[in-house]
Amino acid sequence: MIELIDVHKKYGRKKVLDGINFTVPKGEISTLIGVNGVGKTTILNHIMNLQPVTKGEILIDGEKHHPGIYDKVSFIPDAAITLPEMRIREAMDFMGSFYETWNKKRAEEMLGFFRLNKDDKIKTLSKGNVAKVNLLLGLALDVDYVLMDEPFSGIDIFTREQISEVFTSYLVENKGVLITTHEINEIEFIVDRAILMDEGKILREFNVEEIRETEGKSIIDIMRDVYSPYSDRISNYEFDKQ
Amino acid sequence: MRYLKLSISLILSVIGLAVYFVTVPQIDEDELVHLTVQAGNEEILDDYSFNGYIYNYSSFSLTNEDILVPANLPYLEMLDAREEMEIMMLKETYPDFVNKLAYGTNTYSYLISADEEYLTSAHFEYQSNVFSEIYSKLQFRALNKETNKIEEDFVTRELGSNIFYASIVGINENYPVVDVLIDTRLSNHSNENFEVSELSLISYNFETKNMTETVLLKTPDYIEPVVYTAVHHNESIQAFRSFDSETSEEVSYLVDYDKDAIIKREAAGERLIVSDDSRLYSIVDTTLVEYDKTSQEKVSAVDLTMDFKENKNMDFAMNELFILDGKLFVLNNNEIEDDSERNQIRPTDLVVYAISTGEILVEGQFTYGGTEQVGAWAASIDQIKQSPTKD
Amino acid sequence: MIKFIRLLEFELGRFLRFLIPAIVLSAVIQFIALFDTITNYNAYLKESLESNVPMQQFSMHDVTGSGLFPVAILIVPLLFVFYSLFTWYREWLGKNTFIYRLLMLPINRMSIFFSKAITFLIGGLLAFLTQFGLYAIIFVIFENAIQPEYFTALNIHNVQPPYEMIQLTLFPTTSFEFLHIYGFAFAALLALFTAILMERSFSVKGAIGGIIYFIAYFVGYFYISALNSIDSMPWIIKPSHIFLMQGAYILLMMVISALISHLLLKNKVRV
Repeated sequence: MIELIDVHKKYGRKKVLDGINFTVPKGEISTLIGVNGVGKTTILNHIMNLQPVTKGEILIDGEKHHPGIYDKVSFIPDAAITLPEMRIREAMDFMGSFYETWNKKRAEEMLGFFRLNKDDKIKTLSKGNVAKVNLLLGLALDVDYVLMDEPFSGIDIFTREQISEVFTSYLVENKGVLITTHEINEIEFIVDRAILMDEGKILREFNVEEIRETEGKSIIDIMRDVYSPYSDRISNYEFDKQ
Repeated sequence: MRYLKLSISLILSVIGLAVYFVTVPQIDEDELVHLTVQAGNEEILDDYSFNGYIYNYSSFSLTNEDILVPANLPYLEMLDAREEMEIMMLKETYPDFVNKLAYGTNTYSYLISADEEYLTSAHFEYQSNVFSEIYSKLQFRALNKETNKIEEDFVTRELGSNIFYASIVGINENYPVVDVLIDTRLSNHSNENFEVSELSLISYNFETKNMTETVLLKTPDYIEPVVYTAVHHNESIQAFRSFDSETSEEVSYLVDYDKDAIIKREAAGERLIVSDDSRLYSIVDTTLVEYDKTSQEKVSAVDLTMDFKENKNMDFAMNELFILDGKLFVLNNNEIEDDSERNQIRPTDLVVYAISTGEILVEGQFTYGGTEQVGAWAASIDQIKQSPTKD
Repeated sequence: MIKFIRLLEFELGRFLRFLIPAIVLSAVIQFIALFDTITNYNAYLKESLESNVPMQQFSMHDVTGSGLFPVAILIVPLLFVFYSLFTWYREWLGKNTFIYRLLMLPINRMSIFFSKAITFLIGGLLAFLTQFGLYAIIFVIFENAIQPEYFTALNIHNVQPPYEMIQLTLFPTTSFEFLHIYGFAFAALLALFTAILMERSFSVKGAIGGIIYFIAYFVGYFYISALNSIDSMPWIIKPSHIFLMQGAYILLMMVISALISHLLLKNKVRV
């Protein structure tokens, strides 16, 4: 499991993370929820050592950070991290030559599933297709944990459905997944756990199915409870039209 | 291929580097400076070293056995090489004495006097940038070759603030006394263009620690020694030349260390030479005149024959002249006259006369290679010295 | 280790896309300068022969000294200066942030540092040697274009006009000098990389610190070089000692830069 222990992050005077504690267990899909700028991306960056923490510890399967971690955790950030001049197959070769966990077969399967052409240069792809490539590169690694930052941002609805399908398939089976997103309704029925955060702290961490059974509440209901003093923030989230 | 770019680059680099360094020209030192004896007995030249410079590459010192080209030494040695060959030899044998002068950071304008028993030196030692302070601190050093002890004494001179340049131009040792000649340039504050040269004799006694200073000559014109060398051998007289702006003619002076006096010589067109046994000679046209020990009276006059075996263009007024061991050495460094001859460095002609008869003992020519190897464009020889006997 | 070589090949490929065009451009300009000089000279020769004016000797120096040639020689070094910054900043700025991928590779992060640095080393050697090859080609063309009696032959190692910085610094003739000069440049490169990483880790404060560090490298070197001329040193320093001290300094600074960069990459750098 991925553990965040008392993680603090300060930018100058501004305290972004004020004692974050939570875990990402293996075999479950967790989602980290919070408004824009609350620090979700920062947390993901911290887990991957792409940003230094001000204070606190992050352990992955009980280990502190070392280069081998990247064969255990895969990160699909909300940023363009592929070289535009590369062709898809060159990007795949690149991954294959560095990651021992690269699963070539699965990568080829996903290519087919997403209907992408190997020889296309990444700069010629549409936004949705770029997102698919990123997913492909991130998920074709046989890692234990997958982190995804806003996988649905700026993607059209058809692509979103394809991506959701990927979550429900064997691709994320047995892995510990952490997703940050605004699209609660897209993932409501996929995730196992929800972690709500605000103003640098974790407000609530719960098992989605349990809560649905015991309290009869959806994630969004819990959000209302937790965030109600800040009800204006809830309007940042999309609701079903009903 | 997986690592195509890397492999190609590495292979090209390795081959290229090898080619690069292999094609660095190996300097053929014999070709760089080569002496051909055209007439006479070449063994006469055995005891001498001919020192000069190849422009713009390196100094050199040529003897019958070997040639020393500092720029061609192993790299670290080359860095430490000093211009004068004699300094290079001396610092091998007497590093403690010479290194301070050759490499000292605050040693300026040094001269060394070498004889069988002692090495002595004088230099300015400075620690500031104020002109008058730079030239006021003098250090005298003496090495007793037998005991290997070095004596070092500082002496401070009183100087006016109108001094702007000084250098040590002569040295003569008679332990415990050492005489030093200093050329000082002074400016007149009210008129910055006006300057005066002073030639002063400083006499220091290592035993009494006393110093005396006498101004031998004061002139509005420059004074320079006829022979420039960092290592002197205790000739008791030293020749200087100057340019008299009033008569528009070159003037010669003679400093006599034994008498602590300076003599002005009025003969026009005369070249003064001091022999290695401290006798004065002069050449006017093609006549060599020998003077007595007082340097006042002529002892003999000999006509130097101009009947050369190979064509030579000698002009005693312009040549380098040395008298060693009763022989007159004349060097003619030919200058390039026009650009069409850039292809080759013109050779230096050498003629050695017997001063008693004026006859030619040896006729030779130094030829220079190096235009291709080191991009040299000129060369000359400006010093002949006795090959130092290894101590 | 293999992963490092793979990264090196990758970085080298990226650099060559800039380097090869620059070398080609430089070569083209050099040939232009060459043919320009040859035609000028032959015209001048013709004129002189007709009017019986004494002829000027000609040598490679006339080609390498002429206007366009030094410009051509400078193109590649300028590229190096540009790319030494670009190679890092391109990973963060612009439309893609490839730095994510680089930092997430399962390798020691110093592999990133060294793969970029050694790319410069290899690229530098290639540029150096292609220029040398160009000299050889120009030399041969030149020899055949000018009549021999007016031509002063030079060795390839002397073709740049003497005294000039180019011949002395870029094309040294001894392996000592070669190692020293290119070692100096490489250590400067590592210092620059360290400065860049400081800026990437600490923003403005880092940039200031980085600039100071970078400048300090040069100051340190020149201080050592000037030890000979500083007045009143209580010891004798021979030029060879200075050379050795410079060498030691260069090596030391390489190590220090690498250590600092290692710490920054491991603990402080941010995407």
